[in-house]
Amino acid sequence: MSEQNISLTVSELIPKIHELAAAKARFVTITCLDLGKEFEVIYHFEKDSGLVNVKVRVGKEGNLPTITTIYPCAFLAENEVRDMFGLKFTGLNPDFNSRLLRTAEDVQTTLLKPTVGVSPPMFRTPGRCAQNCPAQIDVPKYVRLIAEGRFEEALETILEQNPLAAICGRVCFAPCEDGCRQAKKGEPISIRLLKRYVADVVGIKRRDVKRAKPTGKKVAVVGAGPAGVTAAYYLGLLGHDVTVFDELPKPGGMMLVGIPQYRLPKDVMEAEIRARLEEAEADLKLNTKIESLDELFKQGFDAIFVATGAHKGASLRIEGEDHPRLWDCIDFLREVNLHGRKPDVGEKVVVIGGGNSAVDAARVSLRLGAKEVAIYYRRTRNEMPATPSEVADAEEEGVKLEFLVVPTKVLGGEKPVKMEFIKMKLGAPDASGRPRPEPIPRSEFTVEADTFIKAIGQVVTVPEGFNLKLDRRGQIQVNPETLETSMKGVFAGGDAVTGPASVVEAIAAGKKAASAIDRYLGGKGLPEPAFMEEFVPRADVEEVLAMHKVSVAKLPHDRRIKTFEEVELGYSKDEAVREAKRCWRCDWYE
Amino acid sequence: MSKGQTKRKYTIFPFGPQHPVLPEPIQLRFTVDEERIVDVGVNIGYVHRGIERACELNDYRRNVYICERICGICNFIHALCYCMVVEKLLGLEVPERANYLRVIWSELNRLESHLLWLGLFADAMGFESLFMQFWRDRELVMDLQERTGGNRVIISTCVIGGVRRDIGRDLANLVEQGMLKLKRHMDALAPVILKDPGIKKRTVGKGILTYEDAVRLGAVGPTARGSGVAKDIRSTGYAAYGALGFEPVVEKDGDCYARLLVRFYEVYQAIDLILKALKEMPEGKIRVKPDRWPEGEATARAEQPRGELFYYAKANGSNRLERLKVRTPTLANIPSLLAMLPGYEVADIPVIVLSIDPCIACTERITYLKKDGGK
Amino acid sequence: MVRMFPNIFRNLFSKPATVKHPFVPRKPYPEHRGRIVFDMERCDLCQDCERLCPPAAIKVDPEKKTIAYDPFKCIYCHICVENCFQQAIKAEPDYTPPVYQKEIKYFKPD
Repeated sequence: MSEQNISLTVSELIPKIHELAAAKARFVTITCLDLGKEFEVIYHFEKDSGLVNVKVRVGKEGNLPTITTIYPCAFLAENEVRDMFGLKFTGLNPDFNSRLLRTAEDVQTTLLKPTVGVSPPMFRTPGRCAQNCPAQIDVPKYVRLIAEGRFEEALETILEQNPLAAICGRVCFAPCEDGCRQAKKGEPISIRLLKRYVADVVGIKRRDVKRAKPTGKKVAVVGAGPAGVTAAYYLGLLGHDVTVFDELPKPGGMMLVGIPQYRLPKDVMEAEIRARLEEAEADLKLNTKIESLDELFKQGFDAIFVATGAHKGASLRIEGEDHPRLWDCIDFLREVNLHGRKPDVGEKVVVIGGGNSAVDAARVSLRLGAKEVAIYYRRTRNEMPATPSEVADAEEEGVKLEFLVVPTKVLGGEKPVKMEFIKMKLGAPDASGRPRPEPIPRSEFTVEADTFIKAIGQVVTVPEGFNLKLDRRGQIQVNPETLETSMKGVFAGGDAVTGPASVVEAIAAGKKAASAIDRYLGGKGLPEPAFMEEFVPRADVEEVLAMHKVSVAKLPHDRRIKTFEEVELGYSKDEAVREAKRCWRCDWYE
Repeated sequence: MSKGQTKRKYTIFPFGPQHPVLPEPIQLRFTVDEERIVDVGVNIGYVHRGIERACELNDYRRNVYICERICGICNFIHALCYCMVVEKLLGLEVPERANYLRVIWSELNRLESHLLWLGLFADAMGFESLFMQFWRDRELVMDLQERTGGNRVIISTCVIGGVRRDIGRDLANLVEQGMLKLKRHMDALAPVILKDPGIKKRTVGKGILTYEDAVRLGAVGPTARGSGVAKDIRSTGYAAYGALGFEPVVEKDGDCYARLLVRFYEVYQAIDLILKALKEMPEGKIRVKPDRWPEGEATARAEQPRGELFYYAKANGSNRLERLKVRTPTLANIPSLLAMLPGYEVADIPVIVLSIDPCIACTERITYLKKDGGK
Repeated sequence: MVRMFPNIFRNLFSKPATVKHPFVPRKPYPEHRGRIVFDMERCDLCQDCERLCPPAAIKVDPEKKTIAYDPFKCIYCHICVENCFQQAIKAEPDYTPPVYQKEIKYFKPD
């Protein structure tokens, strides 16, 4: 079907129509388009079974000559245009006085209004992965950019919402992967490893970021952990003068203390934190313990963000807990990670607890020369808070797992130490939805080990001098919306508020705090993440499901338990692109 | 009617909007001299639904289902034409098998519509038993639509980039048998249509539309073909019509009987097209997915049972269309209808009005018009 | 006239072409697009059906884990059924029964 487009002025219209009539063209219809200031009227004709579109532009107040003198059948179409758009036709003959369906005041709304309800089309929703991410990273977008090989743009997308890409790429517990809709039918996309790949391939370096005009306000951030660094980064970008204080000799907070070298190399972490703080032009003051917030206010700070974390191990509350061979997990990891010491763990180590730090403590003990390491947990594997992949890695390295056991007392002894445990069974679910373990009477048994490590969580310790209102668990009380504490101008976030949580939740808290502090200082806060992107078609689900997850290379087993080298080796370019291509873009519809 | 008042006394009476012979509301104002029609005016706009506007406010992929509801009887062809115009905007190439399937469903729609019209036309002439015969046979087509498409009337199988359902071998056999059965039934009814003196008396020589008038007034579809205008959009070869080969049915007389014959022969033609399409249908994919949003402007035309359907769409690269214009065949045939009526008697009105197969709900997706007096 | 007789006799004893509708339910074909039922055991609240539904008859509330489905808005196009990744939307092979009042159906997990 051939088509011909002709653009004319109003005066050229009638001669052209005459020409078409002479050529025996058949009138089809008239289309009117509202272009804002003027109308575009298109006369459609059929000539030799092809279409001829004659386009005329006319102002909103202008007149068009009627073509009913040449094509009488055009009267219906011309009337339609006249009544719908209010366009006038001169010499429209026969003249119709339109009264039906028209309300005198508003012609157009009556005629153009659809009588059916109109549902606004949803362009795109943040995918399940992005919805699950506490930091609200636009996950589907960067996965697509990786699939297209645009790594730098992908990293930019991540850094928009999460300044610690290389760190999160290694240690994040990846709630996005739990949300991945492929998880239900196949294997979730390894989003965390993809993030790690882009962060590594682009490299950790100082970027050229646009910093807002300096506001002249000074903000102090207490604690250089993930929450503090994130808050400092965003506050710096918003133009504030930020100083980060930390009592440790290196930045990183709990990431430095609690996460072993084989999961997060310390040089990567320090480089990334320093790069981000430099971009935000924030000062980093290490080895500085802040005792009192009033002192900081006296130094001229306008607002303070407290992100001191949770650095004290929780108590088991059992008889003989102060035994010298019953170590606290955080103290043990601090010795190893921060001071680089190698405590003598002996041959047999028992770790009590089921979280990530318990797994870390067990794996670190293996690397320190323990022959036999076991984790004792009071519930079962399904309820373990540790990341399943971490647990699997630990098991691979030879860590044994014992479930449904709880220590009741330390019996004493020195190498081996004796400890009494009791067996448990699962009862009714408690408030967190996990089944509550109940002891089985008279099922006590004794365990002997060289070292016991308790890793049953951490508690928050806020220095006395801060004078902040705490809740009954010792955590800082804040307004959940603004993260504001009981003291004016003091904000708090991260583990110090929530109790021990994850890196990415701390980053989310840091962002929230940055927004709140900026608003407190008279700014507008950080913009809401906008999930906008150019149109991407959905991939064929069947094809995608047929593809398998690209497994990541790991350090050989024999080298793992001897050294503190990073266990996961990360993706190669090929693997990353292949893995990213598995995303079928469930955030778009059809 | 100033000229009437000076010479003779004319009567003006309205026909519709509600009338037993009209399935949908349209008002015709007849000026009659005794029993003879002198002049006709038309008044439409009773069922304006704002569909074009609704299409501008919805996602372009959802519009398929809105357009399908412009007309219930030729729903597939509306959806097909909308899909064709959007596919032009997207630059999509529809798989070959989908094109054949589209032809099959288009022709099932045409059968459904023509059998409905033949029944209604027989009813308008007072031929009750013929009406029932045609409608019984129509059930065959409706059942086939339900089995192939999923619903009796609105089959919703056309989507942008192809079709949603496939006709497998079992269903193809079923359709083939159904078509052969329908052909036998039509053969049984053919003597009635061709020979019955009652039908001939009511239709031959009534509502004559000359060849010149048909061209001048832009008549489309069976109305034009009954007047000897060999115009059929299917001969431009959209979907798989080009590959199947197509010759329009043309009658020269231009009266109601000619239009009846055109439609009756088109039933045979549709059966043949379906059988041929089933036989020649290639294997392969039935759907491709769009990889971007529509941009630019395009037109598409398809042949409805009532004539040429015209879609114009303009898009700006978002997921909504900027403008969608639909010209349905009945709108193009109304001027011809007004030209047919004068000179005949009041008793002929139902037959002549029905002979263009008016589908008013189609027409008034957005138009409204009030016209008093002469044409 | 004589040729009419066999026809008359055949019609006298043949079954009617119509069905006594409310008393004899019409048997749907297996290909029929029937009533829609959500299986909340399988549903993962992805909202695909809500996004695809042309008349917006489905509203998914991921927080309350409910699906509000309006059978009177539904056009029975079965796009949701075909596109449900978890196959949680089922089509019952029957015609929607008539009801006295328009109401929205809510589906919740047990």
